[in-house]
Amino acid sequence: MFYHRVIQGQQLNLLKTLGQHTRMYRVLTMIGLLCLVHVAQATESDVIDFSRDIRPILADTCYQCHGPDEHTRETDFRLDLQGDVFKDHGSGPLVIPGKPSDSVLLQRLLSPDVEQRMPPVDADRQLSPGQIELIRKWIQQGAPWKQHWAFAPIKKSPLPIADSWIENAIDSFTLSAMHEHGLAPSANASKERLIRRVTLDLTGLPPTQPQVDEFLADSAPDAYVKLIDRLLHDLRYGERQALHWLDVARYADTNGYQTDGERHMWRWRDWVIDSFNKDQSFYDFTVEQLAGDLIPDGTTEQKLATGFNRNHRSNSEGGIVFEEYLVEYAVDRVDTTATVWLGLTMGCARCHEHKYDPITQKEFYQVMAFFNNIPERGRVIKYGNSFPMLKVPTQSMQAEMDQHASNVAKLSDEMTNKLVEIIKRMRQIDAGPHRSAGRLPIINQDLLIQFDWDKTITPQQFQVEGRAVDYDVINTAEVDKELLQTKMIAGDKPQFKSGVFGDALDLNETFQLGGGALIQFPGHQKLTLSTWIRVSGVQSGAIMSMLNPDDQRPQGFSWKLVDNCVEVNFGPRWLDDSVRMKTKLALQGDKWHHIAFTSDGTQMARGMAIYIDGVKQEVEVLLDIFTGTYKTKPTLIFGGEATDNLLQAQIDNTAFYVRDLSHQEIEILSVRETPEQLATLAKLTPRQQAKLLHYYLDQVDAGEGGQLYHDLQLARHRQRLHLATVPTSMVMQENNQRRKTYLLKRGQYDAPGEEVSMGIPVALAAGQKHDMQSRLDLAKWIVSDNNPLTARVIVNRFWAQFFGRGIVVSLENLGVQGDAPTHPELLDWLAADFRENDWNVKRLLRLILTSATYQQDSVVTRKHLDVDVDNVWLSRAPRLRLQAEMIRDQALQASGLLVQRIGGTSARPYQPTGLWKEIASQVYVQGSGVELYRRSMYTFWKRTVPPPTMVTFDAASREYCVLQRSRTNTPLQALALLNEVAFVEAARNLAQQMLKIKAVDDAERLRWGWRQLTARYPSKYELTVLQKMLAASRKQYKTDIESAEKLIAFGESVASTEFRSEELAAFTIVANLILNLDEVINRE
Amino acid sequence: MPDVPHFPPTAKRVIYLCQSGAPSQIDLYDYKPKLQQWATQDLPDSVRDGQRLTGMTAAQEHFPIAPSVFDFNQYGESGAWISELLPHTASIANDVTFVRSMFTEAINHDPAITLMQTGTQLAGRPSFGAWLSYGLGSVSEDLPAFVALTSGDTGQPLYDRLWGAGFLPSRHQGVKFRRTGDPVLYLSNPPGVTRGDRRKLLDYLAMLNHARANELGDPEIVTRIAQYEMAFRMQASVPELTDFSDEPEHVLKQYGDTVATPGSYASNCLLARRLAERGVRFVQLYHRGWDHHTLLPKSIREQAAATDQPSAALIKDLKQRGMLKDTIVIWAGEFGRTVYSQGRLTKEDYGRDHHPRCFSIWMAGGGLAAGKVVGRTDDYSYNIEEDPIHIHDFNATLLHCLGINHTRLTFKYQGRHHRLTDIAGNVVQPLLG
Repeated sequence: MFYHRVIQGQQLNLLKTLGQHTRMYRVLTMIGLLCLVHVAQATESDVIDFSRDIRPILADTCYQCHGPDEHTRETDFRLDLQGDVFKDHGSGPLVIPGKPSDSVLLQRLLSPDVEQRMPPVDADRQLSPGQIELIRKWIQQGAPWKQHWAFAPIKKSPLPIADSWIENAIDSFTLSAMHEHGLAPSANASKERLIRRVTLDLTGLPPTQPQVDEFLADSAPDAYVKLIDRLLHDLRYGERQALHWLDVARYADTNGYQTDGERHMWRWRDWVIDSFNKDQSFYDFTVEQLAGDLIPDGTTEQKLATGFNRNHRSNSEGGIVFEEYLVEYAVDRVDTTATVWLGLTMGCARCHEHKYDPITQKEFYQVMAFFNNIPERGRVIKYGNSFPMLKVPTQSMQAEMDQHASNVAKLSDEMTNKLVEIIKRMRQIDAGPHRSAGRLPIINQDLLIQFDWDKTITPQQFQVEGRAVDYDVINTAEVDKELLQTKMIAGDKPQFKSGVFGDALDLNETFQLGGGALIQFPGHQKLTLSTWIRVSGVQSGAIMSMLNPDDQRPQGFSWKLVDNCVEVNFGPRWLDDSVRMKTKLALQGDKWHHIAFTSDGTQMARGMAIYIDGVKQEVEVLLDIFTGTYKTKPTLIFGGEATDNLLQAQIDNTAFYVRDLSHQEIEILSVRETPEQLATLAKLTPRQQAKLLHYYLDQVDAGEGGQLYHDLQLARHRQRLHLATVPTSMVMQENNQRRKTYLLKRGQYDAPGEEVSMGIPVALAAGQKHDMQSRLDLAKWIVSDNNPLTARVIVNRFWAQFFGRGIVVSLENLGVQGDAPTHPELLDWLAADFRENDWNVKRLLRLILTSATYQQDSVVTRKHLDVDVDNVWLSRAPRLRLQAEMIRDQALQASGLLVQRIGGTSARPYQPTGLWKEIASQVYVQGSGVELYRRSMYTFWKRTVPPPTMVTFDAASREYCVLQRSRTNTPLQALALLNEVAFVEAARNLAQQMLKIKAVDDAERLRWGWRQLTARYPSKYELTVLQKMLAASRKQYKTDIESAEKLIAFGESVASTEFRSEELAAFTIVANLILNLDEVINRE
Repeated sequence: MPDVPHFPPTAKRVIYLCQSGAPSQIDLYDYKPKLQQWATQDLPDSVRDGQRLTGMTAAQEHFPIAPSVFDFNQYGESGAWISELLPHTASIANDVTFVRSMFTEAINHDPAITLMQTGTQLAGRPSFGAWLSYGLGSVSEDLPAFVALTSGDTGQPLYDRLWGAGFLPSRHQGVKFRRTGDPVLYLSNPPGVTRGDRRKLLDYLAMLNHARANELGDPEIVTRIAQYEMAFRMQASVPELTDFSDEPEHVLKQYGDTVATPGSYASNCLLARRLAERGVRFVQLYHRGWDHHTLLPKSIREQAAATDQPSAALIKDLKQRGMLKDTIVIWAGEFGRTVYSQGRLTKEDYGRDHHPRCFSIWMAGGGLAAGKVVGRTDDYSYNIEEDPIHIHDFNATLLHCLGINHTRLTFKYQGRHHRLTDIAGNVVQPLLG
């Protein structure tokens, strides 16, 4: 009776939910299955498995009040502890083995007294009669208690059965389970089906027709094994595995909160591809990603790998509280790491003890301590990478860097060798080839503009100096090439007084100078400002500023004196988004000083410096949180901030460089004497000598020395230019001084409790030390034999890639609330085997793919639907809809459009116009050519507005770790496949190929096109339908050439002119049809 | 599988007018006359009472009180105070309930609006509409159960996650109707392909797919054929839906001039009604541009002008069609704004920073109370003095109207039974009709 009622209730729900998808057939058969399961449970002879059948019920329904969390525990006993369950807590033992009716537990479950009955009537979770019956039977059968299966050591059991069908160990386990459930394996899939299946599974792309031909022609017994070996060595294999890992690692090209600005992590993505392709052991793959920065003498690549835990979203929103987000980042790392490697929902223990698994709240924070010691900030750089990061050249970039370095070293050595001799003659500066060309500043590499203020306000510009063709300005994008136009802000004329070199500009209350051209000093560019200055007495006021004067929150750049101390401020908001620093030393009044400011483009105080008279100053950092961006109106003002903060001073030789000059270069700039004066001095200080030397070599020496000097400068310049193109990637790194980690009450950043140290949950470290010293210890423990979880978690996920579901269905949770494994012995066997064989991934995959289980056909029989609709017992191969990326990549490959280039910066393929703009006011700049046809895994991924077609086909948003995508079937997918330009363009290109092949008739062309996508020829019926489609389209376009031309012009690639428009259009429609076949978007 | 409804619903659908960026309650609905006498004085510490501030004003030396420059009057039977900026909203005072006592924990846009829409500050949970699609399914044969609409060209960005499905199967995610190009992505046939051509292709495609279904026996193939048919129907129903030419002049006029501009707030309000009429269960409309840190008086005037009339028109229109009684309409931002000025305060000009402790919203229809004012804040519009309503309480109440016990609409993910209201939420009786 009870069972009947339960089933009826479920029937109703099923009907309701599935009805929308017109899957009645499936619904009915599912009900059949449910009946079967329940009937099976009712049989007295069934052996109840505590771990599989009972603990999940207790956990789901009872642990809330009688479980690990002491805060919500209503009694002093716990139903998750064996000791408590068999103990008397006042009214008799909860469970007496073999005696259900004497057991208090069952009495309470069945009590007619509402006050007594458990769970309480108002509890959210109630037990079904079927579940109570299971508990009864468990007690009846002696109430055997078992540790949760996933926490028990991995045990490799002997193979259960032998049979001629069996290809390897896997099959022994699956066949035995099939037998248990009255099923038999399906026949092998046809070779065509098999090669398409395995090629898609391993490379994410379909096989080409020659590959199919080759496989069909190979009648050797090991043809299939050879095929797998070929595919495992195909570089597309690494891409396909990496694609899954990108979901796991929540990889994206943007930061993921609010403005969602761009970041650059593609070098990490390429590391993953490479790792899979070179078959790196999963052991190292793990250790390097979690703690590559801590490996003694670790390589750059190992450090790059740690980007895994910097891929999380990070926030640049203006008003955030830094501490709040530092906690979120660390929590994300814990959650993700625990989910990915341990299959545990550790995040549940952030606010309270874990309700189901043996993880205390304190232990959560002990794990967080591993990930909470990074020199990072809560608010991140709005556009770009945030510290800690690393320059990570690709191999070819590294080669070029080495070349530059060796060029510079060689020239530098030669120069050094000549110096003694040159120093002897450097005072002879009277004559020289360059003197007549006008005097150049001593340090002139990357000099953008200099104002010498010699009775003129027109600056000299240097970016196209012409003395060496390569002397281009690095940041051309930021510099307006127009001449700086000047205008008076106030006063009549600029006034000049005698300066250091010639005249100086006199700043006074009535005069400011505004520049009309755009020179932005955005934080992310390298920069040096240099000027001479003389103040009357003690002054406060701006030397130079570029601020938005009307804005209530001044944004921009300002360089000023505050009681003669030099202060710099720049950033979008004075109050909370800028860098502001002030020297401790004050300038002396009525004396000329040289001052300079340098910034390395990191937007951080430690990357900036202020110099006075060539000495790097100790500064007081007043604010150091410059993460946003700003753009000022084109006004460069000398002597004030708009009309405020006026300064009384003279300035001379004011220069802007697009590079952060070295200390030595600034020393040279700070030498007051002219080269002529220096040449007369008998004794020179080192910096005086350096200045004279530079001057001599640069502008006087016409011989070998001068040539060498210029060659060296040019080599250095080229080196810098190249270095600027080398990407960075965010990495893990430890603070010098350990950041303390506290238990956070209720998980809140501002409610710290006790301080905690690094450690893993005690329950996972049975008999081992659970306190640890570093993240590297954690990483090594994760892949150690002491940890029962990781090998199971990982093989389970690989398994799911090929069978559509895991042996444990809840891939992300192997804890108490997760699903029980359907084939526990198989899971353990695979896990043990994986671990014993050095965590070799390709070996594991080869094993899975060569199993007879994998090679079965995917035909669904009546019996399958009746007994095993979800294919739990694997008596057939699953038929799975392709992942979003594969659907597009397949179309690109089949049509000949695919650009196969591994790695590199992300691509921007077709996207409907305005998609970013209408919700985020940002512009998507669509690429062209190659960018349109790269594999989808390289598509630029903006987390808050992800690529729409990918999302339509269930791609993860990449905002958080996803181990398993859903596989839906929706009308929006139909619209995308039928109409999106990428697919229509692919159809036309496929059509072109169909028309190009040597063929005797239409049928042959159609057969070829069909096979291009399905790896098989169409049946007679299928061919007839294609022919009808072709005929109908031909008829249509023959009378409407204009439409034909429109259709074939869709997409950037140019339609072939070899064929008549109407013919190409007609074939395009057929190709469009083929690309929409259910068979094509499935792997069978 | 959800066993809903748990009890008879009073509402069948929801239109949620999300005012993104957080409108200032002090200048719209929460009338505070005493502020005039305290103008420019610092906010007393006793009132702030330890409230954390955003990084944008935490370092301000002063927190000068900025009274609203706008006049307020009382409207409707409840005598609700409404700012001069909202004359049209004032005219529907008897149909709506104003709530002045909403509160949240988040103080920044991204987490706050994510909390408002998904019940948590972090990404990854299903949005309200996705929960409804999951719980109640779709009514419409040729439109999705959950549609998102956007308007406004500046201000805080929006994120796909706000109408996302989180851990629910992704078919429950809201379908975002676009303002430019196809309203639904890829709705139009490619150039040179007519509806007749498409029909032919779908017929042949179905023949081939049926053949495959017969051979392989996979029921998913039959589902796919049905989805292609629905797509074909959408190609007709969506353009019909977005074409306002069948709307009578007086209706269009009610929504104001901008109703003719696709993608305007007015046009989206009318579109929301048309979607609701056609069986769409949840229409989530977003209007950007309420984040007035500076130049508030000028900006909020423009913002109110663009939204006041269409919002009121939607209520009137629904009411006139007899749909208001089973349609919930909500007007809400993600948090409130500070009584003190951010940046410079003058007699005519001020800005306001984010404020989580109180904000004002209104709601109407679907079994909710009408012509009522719920909740009261202190004289500074800083702390709630009566009927505090958390977002979870609010969501629990909306679900209640839809026939759902918020503690029982759950989905097991990562070993936990998740719900829209997390582990909190109480149905707010005063909000019910």
